Amino acid sequence: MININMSENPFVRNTKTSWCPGCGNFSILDSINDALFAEGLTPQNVLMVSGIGQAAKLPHYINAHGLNTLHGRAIPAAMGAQAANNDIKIILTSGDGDTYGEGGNHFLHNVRRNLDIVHIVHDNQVYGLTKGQGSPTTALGQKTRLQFDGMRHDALNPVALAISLGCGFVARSFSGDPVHLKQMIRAAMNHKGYALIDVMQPCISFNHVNTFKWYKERAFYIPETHDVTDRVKAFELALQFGDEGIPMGILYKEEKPTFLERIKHIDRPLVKYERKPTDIDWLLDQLVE
Amino acid sequence: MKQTIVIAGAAGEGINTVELFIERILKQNGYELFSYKNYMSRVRGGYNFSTIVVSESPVFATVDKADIFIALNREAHDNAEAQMVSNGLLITEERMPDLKEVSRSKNAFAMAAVGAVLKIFGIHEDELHKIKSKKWADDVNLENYKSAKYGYDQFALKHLPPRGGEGRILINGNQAVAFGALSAGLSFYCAYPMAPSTGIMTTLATYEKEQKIIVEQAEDEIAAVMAAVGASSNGVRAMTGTSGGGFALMVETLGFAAVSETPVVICNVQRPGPATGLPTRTEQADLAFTVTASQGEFSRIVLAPLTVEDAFYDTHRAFNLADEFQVPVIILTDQLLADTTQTVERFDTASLKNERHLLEAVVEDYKRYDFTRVSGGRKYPGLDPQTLIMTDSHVHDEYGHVTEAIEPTIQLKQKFLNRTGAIKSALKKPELYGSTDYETLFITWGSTYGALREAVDQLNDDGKSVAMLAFSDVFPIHPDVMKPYLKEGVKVINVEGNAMNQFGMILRMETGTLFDHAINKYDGRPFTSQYIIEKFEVIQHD
Repeated sequence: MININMSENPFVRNTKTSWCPGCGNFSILDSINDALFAEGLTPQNVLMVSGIGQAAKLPHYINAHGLNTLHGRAIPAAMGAQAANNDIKIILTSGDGDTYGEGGNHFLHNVRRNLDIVHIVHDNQVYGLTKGQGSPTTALGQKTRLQFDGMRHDALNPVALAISLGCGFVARSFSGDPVHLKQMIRAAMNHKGYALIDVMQPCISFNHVNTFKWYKERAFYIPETHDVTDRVKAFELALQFGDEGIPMGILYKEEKPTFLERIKHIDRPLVKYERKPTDIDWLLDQLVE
Repeated sequence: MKQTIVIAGAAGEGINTVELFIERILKQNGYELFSYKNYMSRVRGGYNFSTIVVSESPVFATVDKADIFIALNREAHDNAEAQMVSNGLLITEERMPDLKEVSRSKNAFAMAAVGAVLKIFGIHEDELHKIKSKKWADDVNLENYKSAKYGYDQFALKHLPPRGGEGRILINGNQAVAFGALSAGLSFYCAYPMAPSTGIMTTLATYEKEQKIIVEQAEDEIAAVMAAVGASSNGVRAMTGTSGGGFALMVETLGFAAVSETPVVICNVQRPGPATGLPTRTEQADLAFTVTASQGEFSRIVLAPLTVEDAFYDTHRAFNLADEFQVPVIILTDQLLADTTQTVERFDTASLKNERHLLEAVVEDYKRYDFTRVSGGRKYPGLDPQTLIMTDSHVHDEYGHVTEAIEPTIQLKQKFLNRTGAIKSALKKPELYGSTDYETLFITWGSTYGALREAVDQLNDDGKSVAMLAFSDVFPIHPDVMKPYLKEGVKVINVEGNAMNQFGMILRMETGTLFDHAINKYDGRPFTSQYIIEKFEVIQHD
């Protein structure tokens, strides 16, 4: 737990959760609360968007606007929400199965669209809410409560995928390192465009391979000498995962026009345009001729 | 006077261009039109045709056989006899032997055919100058004019244009839906291309800049509808459009929109299914699916515009209903309506109101999901500077937080029951048309209205006593809706564009109404009045 003065942070909701005691989600929640507060935002300026899963329950535990959608669908919902009102900061919080499995297609295309969102993936390399099946990030051969003889698929590498798609902010952090995690969330919040943070998170109930100790022993901070604008180097670094060590920090960064910046004819949040039925009269006049 | 022109050829041979010039100029000269595109699912080649019915008075349906047939190629020429009335006029290149001397353009015959038709319909020669486009070079426009003039001179005048027609507009069903959405203050349209619905998106994209809206092509239909719901949850009017296959992908979000009480408008432009079906043809076979799609029980509204004009007004109304009841509203059109271009009265935007049903004031202890409130009272993030909004997909408490308790589970369900009840009372009653002392009552819904209306007129002119009851608001159905119309001794005939009488089934389920006979069409082609009359006569003789 991070030591902040809870009474001062308006985002802190102090409600009961349905997470397992000791779950990495608690630390992620605290880090988000802390980062939002530290960035000077108010709950009225923040929309927490999620899909379905244990991680996706997080919007219910924060004092802010919330949009808890369907499994895999947080990203398109966020796209619409952003199109409607980009005065509201969108933080998307979801699990590895939600994001890379059910929502994989949305992830691909909204990175291309360059939504201006912070996307925090609680990546525990297993399905939690459905009780222990393999996820897209579960290692090949790893035994689960469904894959009794081990995973038959190669694991997806989220950060390498994001870099290959041209995602403008790609970082990895660890729920067991809240100082680093908070730092990453704040950096992502200050990035204009799609900011992905893949957060390594132990699942104490269903993943007995990728434990706190497992991550702790392998994770290392990306050296300051790494050039975050070098996409090829970033990709190379991103490929490193597992016993060879796991780089933590910002892997890749590139500023480019966001989803709404590319729509030049819109100069304010869509929700602020006044509209009335007679707005189409000029079109009807054309049809009369 | 009622004349039918068919323009036939391959995709890419200029059918659309010929059709466009004929329609525009005839319309400007006071004629009423109803045209329908019959095309194959391919980019070039194949056999396509457009049918334009021309009259002095409004036309409501297409016609099978042509009075004037324009054959743009050999295959069309070969098909002409089968598609024409016995004394019809065939316009082919062979009938214009000297055309090559006038113009060597590959479009020469198509333009000459336009000129021919304009002459037949008594259009003044000066109007030939309208056969041009800003998109084409001056020399192309000149060649086209010369060809049209040649065609004009080869044929004799047969009809005189009616007076009037001021204030009439020429528009198709997809455009009418798009315009209806714009009039309702649509801000965000998100869709994935799919025939025959793509025209809605194309129309909206055409005016995106002027209307200051966002038209976004999504990665799939799942995203399209969810993005629309996401946009709506943040306060703007949002919509998506698709055909049956895409609608099938949107289904999970229907329930989400309903339980999260987020207004959304979805247009399903039906085409024949199942699966890929007939991509560019017409059918009314998604109704039963649409009214039950998505898991669980919840409130929804399904509107099926009867005409191109209705497509505009019903789409406008769909947005008001969606906001009032915070439900998904599905507009069910079909390829027939989408690809029907019709002369209609200019839409009366001054009579329309955009009703948002919002609660703008800050209130103490605001409950986004107040279980007792079936309509209105909505807030979205940022509507007032204070209230925090939770939009949720679970069974939730009145503030939107997840719960598994028994009481809110029941209250949420009761809210849907009450809401559906309120919707039933708010929807439009069916339109009764025809003889007041009818002995036969046809029941129909959606675009079949047009052909059935013409059949009813014809049958009554022939001394029969028939009427039709046409439903645009097809779901939910009020249990008493049929009471005023069912009388002793009246024969009820269900007419719809599918094989399984889906609306008849819903009507029986909701009101207990049984039909005595059914007239169905499920060959992918639209109803005509002639088809209905022939089937009716078979029923009469049974």
